[in-house]
Parts: sequence; structure tokens; C-alpha cells
Amino acid sequence: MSVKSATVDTASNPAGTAAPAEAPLTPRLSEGGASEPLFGSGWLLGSLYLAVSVLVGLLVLIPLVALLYGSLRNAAPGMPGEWTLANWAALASPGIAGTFATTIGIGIAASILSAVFGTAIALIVHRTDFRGGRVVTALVSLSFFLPSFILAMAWIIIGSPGGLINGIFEDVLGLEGWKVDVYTITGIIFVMVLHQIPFVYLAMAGPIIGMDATFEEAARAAGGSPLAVLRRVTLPLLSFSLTSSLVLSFVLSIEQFAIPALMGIPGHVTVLATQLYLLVRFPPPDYGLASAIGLALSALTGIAIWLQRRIARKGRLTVTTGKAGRLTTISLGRWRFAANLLCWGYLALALIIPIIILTYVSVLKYFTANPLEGAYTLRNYVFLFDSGATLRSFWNTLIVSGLGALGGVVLAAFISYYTLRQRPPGYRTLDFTASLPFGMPGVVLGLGLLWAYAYLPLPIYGTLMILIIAFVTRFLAYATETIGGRLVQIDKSLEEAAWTAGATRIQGIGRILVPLALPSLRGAYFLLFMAFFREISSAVLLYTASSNVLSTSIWSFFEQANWGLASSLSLTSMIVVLAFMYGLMLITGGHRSAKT
Amino acid sequence: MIKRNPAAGRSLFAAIALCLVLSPSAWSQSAPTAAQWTAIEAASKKEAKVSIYHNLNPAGAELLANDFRKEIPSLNLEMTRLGSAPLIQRFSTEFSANRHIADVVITFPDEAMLEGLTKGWMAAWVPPELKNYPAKVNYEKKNMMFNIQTAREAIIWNTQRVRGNAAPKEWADLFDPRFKDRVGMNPPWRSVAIQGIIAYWEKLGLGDTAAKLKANNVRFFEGSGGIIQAVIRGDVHVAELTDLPLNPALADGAPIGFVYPASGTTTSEGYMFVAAKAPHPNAAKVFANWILSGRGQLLLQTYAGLSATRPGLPGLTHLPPTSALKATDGLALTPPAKQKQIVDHWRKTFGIQ
Amino acid sequence: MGIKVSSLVKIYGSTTIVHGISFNVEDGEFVTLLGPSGCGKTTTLRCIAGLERTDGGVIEIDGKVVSDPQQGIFVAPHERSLGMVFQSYAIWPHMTVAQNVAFPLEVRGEKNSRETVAWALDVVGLKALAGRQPSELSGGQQQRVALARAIAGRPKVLLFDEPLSNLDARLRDRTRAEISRIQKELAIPAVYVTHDQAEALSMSDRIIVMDAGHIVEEGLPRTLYRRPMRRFTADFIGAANFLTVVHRDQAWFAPDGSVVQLDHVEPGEPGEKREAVLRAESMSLCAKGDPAAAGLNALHGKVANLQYMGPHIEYSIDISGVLLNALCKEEFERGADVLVTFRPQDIHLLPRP
Repeated sequence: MSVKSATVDTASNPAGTAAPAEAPLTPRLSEGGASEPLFGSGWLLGSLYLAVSVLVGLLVLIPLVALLYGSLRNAAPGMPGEWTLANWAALASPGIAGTFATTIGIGIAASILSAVFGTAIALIVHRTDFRGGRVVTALVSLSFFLPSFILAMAWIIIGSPGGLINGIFEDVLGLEGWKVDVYTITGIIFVMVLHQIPFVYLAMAGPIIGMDATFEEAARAAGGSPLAVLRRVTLPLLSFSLTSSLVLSFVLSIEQFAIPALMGIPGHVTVLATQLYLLVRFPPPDYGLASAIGLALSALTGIAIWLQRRIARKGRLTVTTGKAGRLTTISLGRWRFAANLLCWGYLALALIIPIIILTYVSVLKYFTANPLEGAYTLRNYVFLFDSGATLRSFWNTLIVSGLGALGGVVLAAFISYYTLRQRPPGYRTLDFTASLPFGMPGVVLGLGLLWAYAYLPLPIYGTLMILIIAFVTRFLAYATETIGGRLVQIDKSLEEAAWTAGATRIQGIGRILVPLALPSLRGAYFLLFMAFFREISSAVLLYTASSNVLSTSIWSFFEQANWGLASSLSLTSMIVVLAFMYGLMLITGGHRSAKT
Repeated sequence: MIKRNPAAGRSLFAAIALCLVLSPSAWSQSAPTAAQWTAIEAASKKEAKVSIYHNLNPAGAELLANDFRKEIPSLNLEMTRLGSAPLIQRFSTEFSANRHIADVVITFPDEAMLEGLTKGWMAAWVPPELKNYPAKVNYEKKNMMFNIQTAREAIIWNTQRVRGNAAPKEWADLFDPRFKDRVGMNPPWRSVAIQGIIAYWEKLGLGDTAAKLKANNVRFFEGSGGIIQAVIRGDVHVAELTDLPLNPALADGAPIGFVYPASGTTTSEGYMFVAAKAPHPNAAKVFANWILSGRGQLLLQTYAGLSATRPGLPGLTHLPPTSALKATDGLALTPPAKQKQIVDHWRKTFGIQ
Repeated sequence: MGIKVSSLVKIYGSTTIVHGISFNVEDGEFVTLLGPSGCGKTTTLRCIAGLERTDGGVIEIDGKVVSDPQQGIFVAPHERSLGMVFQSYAIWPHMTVAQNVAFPLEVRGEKNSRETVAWALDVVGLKALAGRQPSELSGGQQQRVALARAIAGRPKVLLFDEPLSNLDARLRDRTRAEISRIQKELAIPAVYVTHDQAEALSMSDRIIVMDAGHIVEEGLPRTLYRRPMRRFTADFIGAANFLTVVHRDQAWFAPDGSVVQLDHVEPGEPGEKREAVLRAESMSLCAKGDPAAAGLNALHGKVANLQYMGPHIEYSIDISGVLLNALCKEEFERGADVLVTFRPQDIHLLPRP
């Protein structure tokens, strides 16, 4: 995905040679410009705008209102209870304040490290003479889709006190004193960083590839060595994108649930998301406090996202003028070894070793660190193939991911069109509303939706539809960012030329905008498809027997500590889903451009 | 004592219909006659579907479901698996919102579920198979909740890490400094069963066990499955365990030792009820009765490794029957106020709240 | 019929960009909006195209009101029968050259567009490249595709938004001539926006000079060049020198005290000061006492600086403290005393402000 990669096109606007145009007065992508004239089919676009705004508003506000209601009651919705402010007051208690501090600390550490390593890998792959960049890109994208709880599970097997590393140290090397323990803050941060590097990588690759070469050329001409240019020119130019992905990475860290739940609970490391889960899931449940924490957490991420959008907007205007391509390649020289170590080392830790572990665990009756002593079995796979429920969850996943992602992309395309192109009154509110759920913890969203849709008189509760609603709401921002990143690159005059040539707005969209944005629409579709496939935290409170999807099936095996079944289903479903996606790419012709 | 079916109270027609056709047993304490049961079975075929909320382990439940489908092919069985607390939370929300999805619920009861007894959650009826059980299986003789399996608390250890005499024998060994950093347990806020054993520890005079375990740097793992995995892996060497996953692990040959301490242990009863507003009330009864049958109980034991309650079963392959243990009913030790006190104390000791 | 703009107002936020300007473009006339960056010329053009909504005034195209906010009239761009060429060309990269050119015909529902496309490509001399992708074209070729596309729909007006600013100088000259030729062939009104005086002078039937949202003045290219009414126009078009002349004894005197002869009688008050426009390229230099100065205006000066440019020399001449730029063929050294000569018709007194 490209997260607002900020390059103004280029193909149609060789601005490098442009004489001073009336830029401040005829804002093409501009800030604060008046909205475009509506005409012709304007009433249709206008009413669609209204519909899209209402839909997005409802998607986001319904669970939020349900949570707000819950936070002001001293009993779960539907139960007899009274109005109270005690839940909000409880936020100030030392325990919860301490949890806030831990959460923010982990968030800061994990996001900075993710940003540093993710950007480093992106720079190595796209700006140096590193060999094997295509393979690294493909594998990093793949690791983006590895569900966080599978990564956490693999690392528990590797790095827990009884895990592989300690097994090797103690039993093989005879070292007693030295112990690795992932059930710690460090362990949590480590796995979070592994999980989030692909996000930063994918967010930074766009701006790095799309950077204006002339800035660097000027610096080279002024006598800067390649590394000095990188440090003094390239990185500062990327600082807006970098800050923006840093903030998003921070948001992802503090709303991350599975990693701190699996690794933090044994070591008594509590973050907000796990605290929320502990309050809601286990008796006596305290829904009011959980809602208050959830809303406080959402407010925190909401502020971060608001900040990120301001940064991204500014960045888009300042960094971006240029032509793609023709960037000089930095020679790695004696740093080649370090670059290889970083890229391949990362992939080994985040993808290759976890997959090997998963495969190993899937054929074991019970876990042994020494493969020679393993009690092997194929019963997990036999079970999966016999199981009607598993087959059903495959179909459900294909429906939720396949159709749900389509719905999400269509909605996101409209949102991007209105917020970036037409800019009718209130477009910024729409933009912000659509990006808000990105920071809403999945467990919180799930809880809000559970309460809201159980009581709303709509035939949605307990169906696949509520999962689609949850997923679309949660990942809408992924799609709007991907599509928006492309839309801002399509010069405004391309559309205007269509209008002056006699095309209505609708014709302009259909004939010009959609074909040009097609790669990003396709990219957004596959991104949502995979995000829906791997999503667990918002689904876990909402699924039923008939709406069981793969992620919830894996999770329920996992929750019962049936790691053999969890691993075998994870592997099988990843293979099936990737094959399905590949087939879809071949059909839609997107195999060349899916990685936008 | 006559228990009114709350659903029947709503409308006269519904009451008459239920009375005449579907559920005459709700009006009496006796099991349905053969003819009435045949009518229920016939009606269940028309419903053709039954939806179960349960907290059994998913693999075992799936196998159980396969056998059920083979034996009663007219019913399309759907199962939703959730942990006991979210399961009850889900059911409760759906009940208040009038969204009735579950026909039968199988789980460990908590405070909310016991409150549900009086809130009209459950159908009152007498399953034909109930006659084969001791009276205590029928919770408070209300004809609503039936005890289908019993879990017991045990101490387990990794036999590769803890050998011979070093093995724990009593609950107090869990607090022994020789196991510092090496003790695991399922935290009490996650399970009523753990609250039961903590209450029993208190009764044994073991003192502030939360503080003692904190001093021993106990590690929390999620659920009994999480505990047993952690012990097999060696993350901890000994652990307190609700014995649900123990028999299957021993059957697999996992390196695990176990003891039910001589000072006694607690049991947690897993219950089943038919929802009062079940969308498929007859199919629900057919399924529930099947679970209580010798066949259902045997499968529950073989597939899910649970200590089923029906007398005369062959027993678990690797574990002693409950009757051979000095066992106390955990739920009886933990009335709602006690549950809250234990959880609050532990959450405070471990800084969760 | 042409285009009629009356009292056009355009406001962005709190900034008024266009302050109620009015002008007409007759049928077949080529009118240029000329002005510096930010003068409102492009905004005016975009208002004519319907790409911006106006805030006041009336725009008529071909006798039909297309924009009148007071009456609530706004005709969409696609209904204004336009042909427009953009600064960025805006060639659609996903369509071939022929598809780009055929677009205006297609969206109007014309079935047989092939002949028209062929004609339009022929006019711009790109017939051979019909099947090419835009990315395979040079900047100049893209520019012609844009032109072909603009005329393909047989528009009622042609609009140009700085179409040549992205071309190199040589290509610009050639394309300039081509645009003029095509516009004359089609005999439709054209509005051309540029900040380049050479383009404006060479192509236009009439030039409208704009500054800060106002029309400064309008007129034939030659008139604006030789007899501008405003200092802004003189300054913006061509390299003008400004010389303050003083009226005394029925004549006008230059700063060096010489009498300035005009080609007509310009009355003035005694002591009145006026600004005279003197084009750099209309001056010659000669040594003092050179008979060539006879019959011409001659100012006494000193060569302050010079640059050798090839065809001519760019001098900076000090006339009693006023520096004049002069482009001359005659060669003098720095510091030389010279006479600056020019014909009476080459000096023009700006009207009283």
C-alpha cells in the first residue's frame, strides 16, 4: 500500500520546466480552495456525497455512541443500571494510569524502531545497488499479512523460558545462567517491531520511489557524498512521510491486542488493549470501565491520526514536485554485508522462522524443542479436511474478504473522490471520520458493534454482514490512503480536459479518473482482502456458528491452546487464500500492479 | 412446585400451542411420556436445525458434532465456540435484545448465568435421560441447568524438568521458593474454577495465596490449554491446572506428571441448558437429551477428554474418577460476593486494576 | 457572436481574484489575456470554461448566457462547446493519440468520428502517430495532440491556458505560428492566456493586459507596444525606458536639457512633468557632432556599461543621472561620451495619470 505517497504527477505535468504559473490562485491540489463547480450530473454526485457521508458517519458513530452509552452506565447495555461518571473517574486510578504509561512507552519504542528499520529496508531496497530487492519486497509484503497472533505464537515457541533458544542454550550448550524471555516489555516491543516493519516499509516505499531526483542531484553537484546526500537531503525531504508513518505505527502499536495479550499476560505486562480485554472477557466483567478505557484509547489514537493527517497534508505540498525515476543508485560498497544482514535477518525473524515453526508445530502431538524427540502426527490436517465447520469458515472468509473488500473499496473510492477531488462542504470531516476507526482498537470496535447491532432493529446481528461492517469500518482508512495516494498524483487538468471536451462529470470519472486510478483500486482491494482475512480482534465478539471465518477458527483453536490445529489451519488457510488471491490477480490482470 | 415457562406467559395462544403440541413437560416435573417425546422428535425434524453455544475444546466438539450428525441426520447442528465468560455475555446481550440464536448452551456457569435462572433465560423441562443420573446433576432441582461434566483442580509438572522426589505433592508446594519463577496458573479472573480452588486454599488455611504466588513470581497463562502448553514447553515447571485438557495430553504421551493433592480439591461443574426462547425448541431438547445419553456422555469423554457425569461410564483412560478424589463443589464455595472479593483481591495484588 | 464577459467577479475565500472585468471577443478574433503571474488571467479563462464558478457578472458564449450567478445560471463546461488546451496538455495517458482526439466526439455521441479525428490530426500534422501512446510522444507532439483534441469537437470557442510554457524556445516559435494559422482557418473566437509578451504580440488580434484582477488596458498589439496608455503596459510589454520630460516654453525637455521632438503636438502646462516611453531597440548611438544626428532627437550621455550580445550591443547610458537601456549596433567604449538618437515617432508620452 502507499500511504499518501506524495508525488504530484509528472507524466502530464512536467513541472520541472514550468514557467511560473498561477499556482496560488488556481489551486490544483490545493488547500483551502473553493469547491469545484457542480454541474450536469451534479445532483447525482451531490446526493451520493450525502449518502456516503451518512454511511461513513453511521459506520463509525454507531459503535462509538454505544460505547459512550456503556461508559456512562454501571451495567452492561440492556441490563438494569444507573447513570454514572464513576467509570471515567476510574481512569485516573494509579493502576490504569500506570497502564496508560506502559502502553504509551511501548508504543513510542515500537514505533520508533519500526520506523527506523522499515525506512532503512525501504532505502536499501529502492535506493541502493542491493541485489534481490524484488524478492525482499515480495516477502516483506507477505509478512505484512501474517496475523500478529501467529507471529506472537511463533515467538513464544522460540523465545519463551522453555522455548527453542533457551533449549539450545541449556540442553545443547550447557549454559545455565543466560536466559531469553519474551514474556517481557522488551519481548513485546521486539515482536511488535517485527510485525510493524512491513507497514512502515510499504508506507515509505512510495515516497522514496517517487522522490524528485533534482533535489538529490543538486546536492550531489554541490559536492555531497552519497551518504551525506542521504543524510542531509533525502531523509529531511522524507521527514514528512516518515513522521506520518511514525505516528501511524504508534497508533498500531497502542491498539495492538494479540501480541501484548499473548506475551504480556504471563509476565504481568498490561497495556490498555489487554486490560480492556481482561475487564470485558472475564467475570465479573466491568463493561463501563472497559468502555471508558476504550474511548480514552480511541481519543488518544484519534489525536494521533488528526496529527498525522495534518502532517501528511503539509508534506504533500512541500516535498512533492517532481518526476519519478532517474534517482541515483547509492553503491553499498563495504556496507553490503550489513544491508544483507538487515534485510534477510528481518525476513528470517519475521517470516521464515515463524513459518518453519508453524509447520513444525502443526505436525506435533505436543511441543518438544528437540525435533528428534518430537511425537509427530498428521491428525491436525486430517481433522481439518474432515471438518465441516472448517470448510464453512473457508467459504465465509471468501465471502467476507471477497465481497466485503469490494464494498470497502467502492466506499473508499467515493470517499477519496470527495475528499481529494471534489471537496464539497464538510469534506474534511468526512476524511477525518473515515480515518478514525484506524486507531480504534478492534476489541473496542467489536464491543460497540455487538451492543449496537444487538439492539438496532436491523437484520444484521449474527450474520456475515456484521463482520463485513466491522471489517470495512476498521480498515476503511487502508483503502482511502491507497486510493487517495494515487488520486493526488492524477493531475486535475486531466479531468478538466474531459469536461471542456464535452464530458459530464460522471463521464469524466468513468472515462478518465477510474481507468487512471485502477491500479490503486486493485491494490486497495487486495490489501483489504488480506486485512479482512487476518483480522481477529474485532471479529471475536461478533462471530456465530454460521458466520465463523478462518481467523476466528484459528483463534478459537489457539485460545484452547490447541496449537497444532491453530498452526495447521493457519498454514492451510494462508496457502488457500494466497492461491485464491493470485488467481484473482491473474483474472483481473493485476499481478503486475497489485503492489502499489 | 410448578415452573411457568416464561415464554408461555406472553400470549395465550403461544401457551396453548406450547402446552398442546410442543412442550407439555414444561408444565410438570415429570419427564415427557413416550408419545410426547415422539411428538417432540417429530417437531424437531420440522425445525431441522439446532444451534449450540459451547465452551468445549473446538477439536473435541467438532468430532462430537460429526457423530451427532451421523446419528440424527435430520438435524443440522451448528456450533459457536466461545470462552465461558464471553459466551455468557453474548447470550445475555442477545437475550435482552430479543435476538434469540442459541438453542442450547453448554458452559461453566458464572454469576450472570445463575442470575439468568430467575430472569427467564432457561427452559424448564425434564429430559428423558435424566432418570439415569443422581439428583444433584439437576441444579437446585429447577429442571433448567444440567451438570454434564466435571472438571477437577490438579497440580501438574513437566517430568523432564522436575524429577522424582522434587515433584510437588501438595498445594503449598506451589508457594515453595524452589519453584520461584517456575510456577504457572490460570488467573482467577479468567475462570470460576480457579476462584473455587482459591476459596478452598483459604479454607485449608494457606493464607494470602495471591501474595505468596506473587512472591514466587507466578506466570499467568490463558486458560487450562495455555497452562498445559506452557508446562509441556517448560516455560514453567509446575502449575495449577483445571484438568480439562489433561487426559488428552497424557494420552498423547506428553511429558507431564500430575497429582490431585490429598488435602482435597475442588470441582467445577459444566452445565447445559435449553434456552427458554430457543428458535428451535424441540431440536434443542433432542440435542440436549442426546448429550445426556450414554452415547453422548461417552463421546464427551473420549473426544473432549472430559470427566462426564453419567454413572456407569468406563472412566477416563489416564485419570481417576471424581468419586475417588476428596472433592468439594467449587461453585458452592464461591457465591457471587466471594467471587468478586477473590477477583478484586487478585487483580489488585497483580496490578491489573 | 463570440464571447462576452461583463463585470466578471471571482472570489476565493476572502480574496477577490477578479474585480468585475468586462471584454468581448468577436467571431474569429484571437484575444490574449496578458499579465504577470497572479493577475487573474487564468482564473478568468477558467471562468469562461466553466471550471470555476463565478461570483458575479455575466458570461455569454455565442449569444447564450453561460454564467450569471445573480440569475442562478451556470452552464456546465461540457455544454459550452469548448475546445481547451491546458498548460500541462492533459493528454490522457491511458488512451492512444487517436482515442484522445476522438474523445470529444464520442462523449457527444458522434458515431463516425474517424474522419474528424483524421482531419484534426492532419491539421496538427500528427496523422502518422494516431496509434501511439502519449508516453511515446515528445513534449511538442503532446502539445499538438492537445490542440487536435481541442478542435476535434468543432468547438464554438477555443481556450488556451499558457499552452507553450512547457516547450523549448525553438518549438515555441513554430507552434505559435501553427496555433494562429489553425485558429484563423477555423474562424472561431479564441482566448489565449500567457505571461509571455512575444506570444501575445505575435499571435493576437487584440491584447488585454491584466494586473491584480483588473484590466489595465486593451488594444491592438502594435498600439499597445508603441502607444501604451499606462506605464504598467509599457513596462510589461517589451523593454521600456522611462524618461521624465518637463514642459517649458511650448516644448518638452529631457533631463539633459535637450528638447524632445514628438511626431505630434502634445500640449502641456508650464512646468508639467510627464513620463515618456522610449524603447531600447529604437535608439542609436553616435559620437558628438556626428551629422547622422541631424533631424533626430539627440540626448547627451555617457556609456556606463555595455554587454556584447552579437547582433547588437546592450548599453547602459547615463543621461544626467538617469540610466537608459539601449540596444544598438554602433560600437563605443565604456566611459565614452555619446549622443543617443531616436526618431520623433519613437518616443511616446504617457497620458496624464
